[in-house]
Amino acid sequence: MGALMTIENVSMTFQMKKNLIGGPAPQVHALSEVNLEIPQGSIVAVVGESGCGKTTLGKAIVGLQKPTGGRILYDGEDLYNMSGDHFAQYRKQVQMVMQDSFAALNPMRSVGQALAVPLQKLGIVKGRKAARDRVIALLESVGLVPGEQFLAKYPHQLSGGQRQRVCLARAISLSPRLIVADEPVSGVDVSSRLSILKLMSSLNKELGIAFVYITHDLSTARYIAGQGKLAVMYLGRLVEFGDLQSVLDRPRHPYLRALLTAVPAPDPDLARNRPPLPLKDLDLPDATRLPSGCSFHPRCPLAAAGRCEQEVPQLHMVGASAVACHFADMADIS
Amino acid sequence: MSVVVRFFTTIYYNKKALIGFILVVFFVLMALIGPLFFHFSTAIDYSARLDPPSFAHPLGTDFAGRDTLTEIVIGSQQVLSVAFWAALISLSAGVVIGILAGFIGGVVDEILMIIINLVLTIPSFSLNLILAAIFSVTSPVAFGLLLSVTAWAPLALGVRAQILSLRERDYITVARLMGLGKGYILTRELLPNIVSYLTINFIQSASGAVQASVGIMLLGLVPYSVTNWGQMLNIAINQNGGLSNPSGVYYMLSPILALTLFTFGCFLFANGIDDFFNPRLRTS
Amino acid sequence: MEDSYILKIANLNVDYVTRGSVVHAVSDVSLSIPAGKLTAIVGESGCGKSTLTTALLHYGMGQRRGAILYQDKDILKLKGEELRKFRWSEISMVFQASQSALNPVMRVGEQFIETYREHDRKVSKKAIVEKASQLLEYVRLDPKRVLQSYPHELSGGMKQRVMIALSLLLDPKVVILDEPTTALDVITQDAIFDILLKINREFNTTMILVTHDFGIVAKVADYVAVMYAGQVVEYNDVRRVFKRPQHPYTKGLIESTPSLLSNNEEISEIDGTPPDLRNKPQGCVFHPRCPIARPICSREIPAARIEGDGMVACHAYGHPLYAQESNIEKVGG
Repeated sequence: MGALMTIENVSMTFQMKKNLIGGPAPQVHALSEVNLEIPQGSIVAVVGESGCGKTTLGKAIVGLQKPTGGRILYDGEDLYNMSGDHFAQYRKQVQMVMQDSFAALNPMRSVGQALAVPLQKLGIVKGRKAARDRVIALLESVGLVPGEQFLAKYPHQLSGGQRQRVCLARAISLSPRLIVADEPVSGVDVSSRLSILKLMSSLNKELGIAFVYITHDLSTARYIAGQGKLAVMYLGRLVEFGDLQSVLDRPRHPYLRALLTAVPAPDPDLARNRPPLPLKDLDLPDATRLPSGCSFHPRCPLAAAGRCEQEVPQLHMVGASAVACHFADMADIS
Repeated sequence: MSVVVRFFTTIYYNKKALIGFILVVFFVLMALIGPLFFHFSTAIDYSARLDPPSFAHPLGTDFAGRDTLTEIVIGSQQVLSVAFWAALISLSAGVVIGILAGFIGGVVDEILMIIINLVLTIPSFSLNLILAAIFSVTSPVAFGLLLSVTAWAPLALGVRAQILSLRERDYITVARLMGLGKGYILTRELLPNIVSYLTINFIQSASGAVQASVGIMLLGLVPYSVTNWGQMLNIAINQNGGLSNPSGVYYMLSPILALTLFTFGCFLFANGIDDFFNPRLRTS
Repeated sequence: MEDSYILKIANLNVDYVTRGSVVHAVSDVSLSIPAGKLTAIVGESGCGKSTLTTALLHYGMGQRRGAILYQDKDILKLKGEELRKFRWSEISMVFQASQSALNPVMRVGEQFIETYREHDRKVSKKAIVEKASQLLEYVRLDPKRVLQSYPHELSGGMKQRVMIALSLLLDPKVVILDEPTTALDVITQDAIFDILLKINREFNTTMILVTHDFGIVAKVADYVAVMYAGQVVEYNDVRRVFKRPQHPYTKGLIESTPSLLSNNEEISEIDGTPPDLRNKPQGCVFHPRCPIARPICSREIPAARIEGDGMVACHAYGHPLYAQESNIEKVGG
């Protein structure tokens, strides 16, 4: 399958305001030279800590934020250099589902209004009756059955899981090819999280919609993208990328290894007998003053003087996955 | 549920708003149909001058022995229509300018903000006095326009702030991602969220305009009318020694009472508006 | 072993009255907290777990009935100065959003001094700073730097560790941890819980952890109380809760959590959504979502069955009729 989207060397640098004393204005490198390919109909999980750039990456993919460097290709065409028609197509075909389902729905509008009016406005269906029927079908396809019962509901009358389903129904109403879902289950009750993940999974399988699943939670990433890809980010850089299953079976980047160690296992005996975190420093560096060379080196147990703090490691294939670490091969042995 | 039923349900459950609504309706009816029942005559009866309240004259009589209640009722028409026009004009201007500044942003916003801030620094009551002295204000519309000269600025600032905060919401972002145009976002997504803000401000502007108009009348800067609440106050205080003359006190208190009740009613009624518009607060 | 419990909650009810309706946030909860252990209170948002823990400090809104006994004193009867002294020096709390719990215009050092002085005016500044430094070192922070910092100069994880140090300042016997790591990432979360466990063991501080995350519970808790719709539906030793969950809700929660270890093939969600606390279901609150519900469940509220240290409120528990259809017993592996 061909690439639906290609992220080429994308960087995003934010200029902060100058401080009063007039020193140089600090810059935040939210993304640095990220390369990523989203195959058609696939699921790509993007995992990292807060501040790693995963949300910025999502915003760049849906076209909310123009990269300060590099290109984003949709169907092989540069997003910021395509014809108006093609861009309008892209607008419809790439949708987003956000973390806070309450903020993502207009509190003053009922579910029916929120879904039906855009359909009519964008000329997808003609007439109120047809719009209503389509909305009911959409609601039922995301598991809100019977659909009629939800038309007159306002967002505050729904549970977090139901609201997120409405957001998914709205996203699929335009028949998209890609949905970027940024932490879609972290605001949902624990008992309903799984059903939202299953729903996305079935939308992927049945409608062929590709998903970019952005999360800090490796367990849910593994659940939804079991057959897909995993991209691990650290301080604005992609540090490991490959088929999720093979990446998790043999994690190569020392950061991913630390992350995997830190995920609590839902078993008291395993959780209490795990090795200590393979990290030299607990705290993330200041985003405006990134470490030189490999930005992970101050925390990395494998960091070697003379190389890691000087040379930025590039993504290169190690085994089945791409890793950005000078000692990726060694990490395999240790 | 129809809008009317919902309105009355909301009002019924919010007792403060109910009292406010009754007061406001009372004054509006007074202005609309009051003149059908009360007829003001200019006949002077000095023997009944500044009488205390009685059955014949529930609010007593004025300096010329005329019924104070009749004067209040007749006067309400002018006071309320000035308030209505003032609120309508200042709010319309405020909404248009606030939306332009908040929604378009950029240079437009910067220029409009300079103008708004400039207007905000002008002492409005003094300006109103000067303008009232220069132009002869005869119609309620003109009076309303006069009162709106500066009153739109805080409203524009408020509307702009509302728009600025709303346009960053996730649902607006989603609407943009769906390729829905600016017109849709403004009318379907943004405006429903500020309707209650606008309604509350309409009521509060009206009540503020009543205060300001009475102030200008009290100083005698608009054409003389004996039934005008502000004019009544003027006469009560300046000519009849309302503050020192015990028999003039009812004549002075009547317009004050009418003013206070109307303002208070507006305040209470505005209180229930959000309950009506905000689906979260609706009583189910 | 009466004395092994530091807190005894007896028939606690907390109601919120809003716009004419009553929300029963906590209904008839009886729970004893073992001294020196870490007890986790687990449940979904809105299950009453935070309402329960704020009641332990007799803080915030809500009408409270029942009793919370702490060293033979009923916390719910404390008032004024006595209550003020009691909070923080006996029971302290670490909040979910430490960002807002620290005063943004005060240096961290000053906040330690102010907090101490509110409870004891006589202690010298030097002594307080010394104690604060020890505690900060304990939570793996550099006291020299942190005491001079304003909250905004610290990262989220650092602020949360400052908050933990601050919560220990007056040597409380009990520390309540209300979702202390939800805003933080996994690595920081892991490190913070390591620190908390160390404090728990070395200072013998009783800890009450409020969370919705069963992974964290598995890592740190000694005992687990599972709450649903304002009630404690199951309480037991952490290993028993994981190996042999008795209540269908507990079982459902554990089974619906994706894991990095299992093949995730058998996991399934709990159908439905938690009930409206203004209008709870008749009988067992969980019956509309329960996969093994029988007619009795919609009629009668299940009594709390106690066995050893554990408790479960379910009609199915030990009932022969359920033996076949309930697979509660099979969860072992």
